[in-house]
Amino acid sequence: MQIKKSPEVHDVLIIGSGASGGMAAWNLTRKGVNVLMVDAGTKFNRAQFWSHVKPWEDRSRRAAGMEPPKFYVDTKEQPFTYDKGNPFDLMRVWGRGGKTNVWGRVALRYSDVDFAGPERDGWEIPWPIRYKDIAPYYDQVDQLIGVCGGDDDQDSLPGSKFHLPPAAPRCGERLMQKAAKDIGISLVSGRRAVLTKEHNGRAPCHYCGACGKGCDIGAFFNSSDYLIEPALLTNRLRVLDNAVVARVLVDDKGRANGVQYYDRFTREEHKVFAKRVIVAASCIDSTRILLNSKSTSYPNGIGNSSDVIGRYLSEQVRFHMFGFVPELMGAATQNDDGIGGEHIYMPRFNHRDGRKRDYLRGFGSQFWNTGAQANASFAKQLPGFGLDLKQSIKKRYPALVALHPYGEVLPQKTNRVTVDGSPPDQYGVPIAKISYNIGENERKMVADMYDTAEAILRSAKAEIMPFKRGSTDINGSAIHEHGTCRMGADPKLSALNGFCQSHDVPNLFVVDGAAFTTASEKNPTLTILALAWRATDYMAGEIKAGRI
Amino acid sequence: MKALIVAAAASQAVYAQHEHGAADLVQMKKTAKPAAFSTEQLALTAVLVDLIIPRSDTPGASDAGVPMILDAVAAKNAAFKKQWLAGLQWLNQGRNFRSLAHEHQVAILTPASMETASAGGKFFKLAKDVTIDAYYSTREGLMTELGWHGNTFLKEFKGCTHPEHQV
Repeated sequence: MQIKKSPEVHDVLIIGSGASGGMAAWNLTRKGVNVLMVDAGTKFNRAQFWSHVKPWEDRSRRAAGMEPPKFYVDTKEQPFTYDKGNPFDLMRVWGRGGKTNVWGRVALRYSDVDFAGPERDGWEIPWPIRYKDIAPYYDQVDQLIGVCGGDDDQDSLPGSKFHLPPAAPRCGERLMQKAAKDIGISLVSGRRAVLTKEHNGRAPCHYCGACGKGCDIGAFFNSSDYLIEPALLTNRLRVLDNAVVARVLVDDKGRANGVQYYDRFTREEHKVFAKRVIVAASCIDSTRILLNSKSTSYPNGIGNSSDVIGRYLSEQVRFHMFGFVPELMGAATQNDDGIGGEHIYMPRFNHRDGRKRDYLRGFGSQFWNTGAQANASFAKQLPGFGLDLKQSIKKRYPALVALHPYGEVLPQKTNRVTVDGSPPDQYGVPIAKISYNIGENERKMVADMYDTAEAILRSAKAEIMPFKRGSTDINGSAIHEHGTCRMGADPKLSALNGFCQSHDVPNLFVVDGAAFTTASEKNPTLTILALAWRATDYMAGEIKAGRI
Repeated sequence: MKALIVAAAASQAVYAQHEHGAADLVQMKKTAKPAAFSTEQLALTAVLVDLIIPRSDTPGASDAGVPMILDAVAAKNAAFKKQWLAGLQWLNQGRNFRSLAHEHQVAILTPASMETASAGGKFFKLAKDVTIDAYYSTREGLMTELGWHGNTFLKEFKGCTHPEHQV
């Protein structure tokens, strides 16, 4: 079959349109750089989101053959694999904006508790940056996208003078704050990328609580509306839709010079060319692309002379604990939707004076599912049936509280993504294989996480729902993959420098979660945005100086 | 200034978009010919789900259309249909469950509700789970019974309004 080649050579080609790709496109185009974005899907139509479809109508619509927008890629369309008996739950969104269309909106800053962690405990390589390097970018991101939150800063969770007003806590959240405070743990206002007031011309949240179905008015940050649309207005951005990238191409000097992609539906092979390439396809897919980009210059994948690409995959360990607080048993039902998800957050505290632990790093907690939900799934765990059950459910319904602790997984050389020996996808390109295990450090941390969650619920005098101590969600469930193309000062031990630039290939950048040196316990998107902004500031300077 | 005007216009558009009220685009009938169950199977299903979530001062499971919801699931999911019909047979073994007195029906379900090892226990767990999922996703279960009034349009979110729970 003839390969279609586009004769045009773009200034910069970006693979992916999520938080990192969108930020790269937005920042480069406003600096006068011409960008080609290659995206595996198309733009989602906000008018077709089911944000205001009630549960019963959802069912009726489906029965009538209707479907909401399909955000997540079906593994039948694009498979990945893992070691037998050791599954990994990989969530991918192919389409303009990627996962930011439906993300959890938790927007936390890393602190030097995170950035200096490896140096402090000696586990794996240090980050090449510190909080002071990224703080101005956090400030800029907060102002650009709108992040609500309080001024209740902590050493492990820096605040922001640009936060929009925090969402008011629900009754259950207030009671959890009090219960935690009573045992010396402080729960702060949630930092969420949701507009609690009008911001940069965008209408605020209307508190329908259906964010997971996509916001019908774009009142939370998504890369498509907040970054890519403004970039398109500069006339310096072109987006190729339904283009599934297979490999980064190189010239005879070993410089990246474009990509090979397949049309998602016709499977036709194409090549497009550019002077520089930014990989921003989300951690696992970016890694797959890099490892499949083999050439005589790069026999084990582009930019991989260190052999770290694919290694050190770090997700987070997570579980859920539920309870019912006595004060709210039988209370009148309130509308607890708010901004969807929690309005409070438990920053990491296990490193503070006087606390002992037998493991490295730490954990925080989210609190979604507090109060009245659009279901009563908890009821399945209540005993009995009949009138007693019905009354027992109604009594507990307003009193539901929940903890969802997230713990850092240490980077391990053996936790890795590979493509060698993998079967091909429908385009003939080897799929990703994920080999990933949590270890002793994580198990000890999980024990502490259980103790903490239980202690808070006991302090609240809550009726605690049955749980299995030590169990965690299937690996990958936190949807926070990091580390497989990590940044660092030493080119032998890392793939990128602190500006997300490949040590081996100066005109190649990797700006998504793959670039992280460690995972931390925090949700990464705000940091991905800040790092991508910083990387493309640097990149624009290098382009201007003629160095790349 | 321009941003403010655009924002105000954007807000107005949002208000207009949401304030007309949400009419359901598609409504499912509670009483129609079942697609997967026989009339007798549907009737037995109704008895069972009402034993799990009965009518009180609010609608019960069959009032809320749960039997037809389960019929629709069975029509699309062969594995569920097989399990469900086998469960109904278990209910009817050596008797006509539907014709028994309420107390007798409760007496049959009670031991099954306390374990998940036997066939009866497994089926009861399935029946309870799907009844809860279905009932509390109907207007009757979620709004009338539990008082849920979410997924709407609010100009302001006040958080906890109980004076005694302010910190």
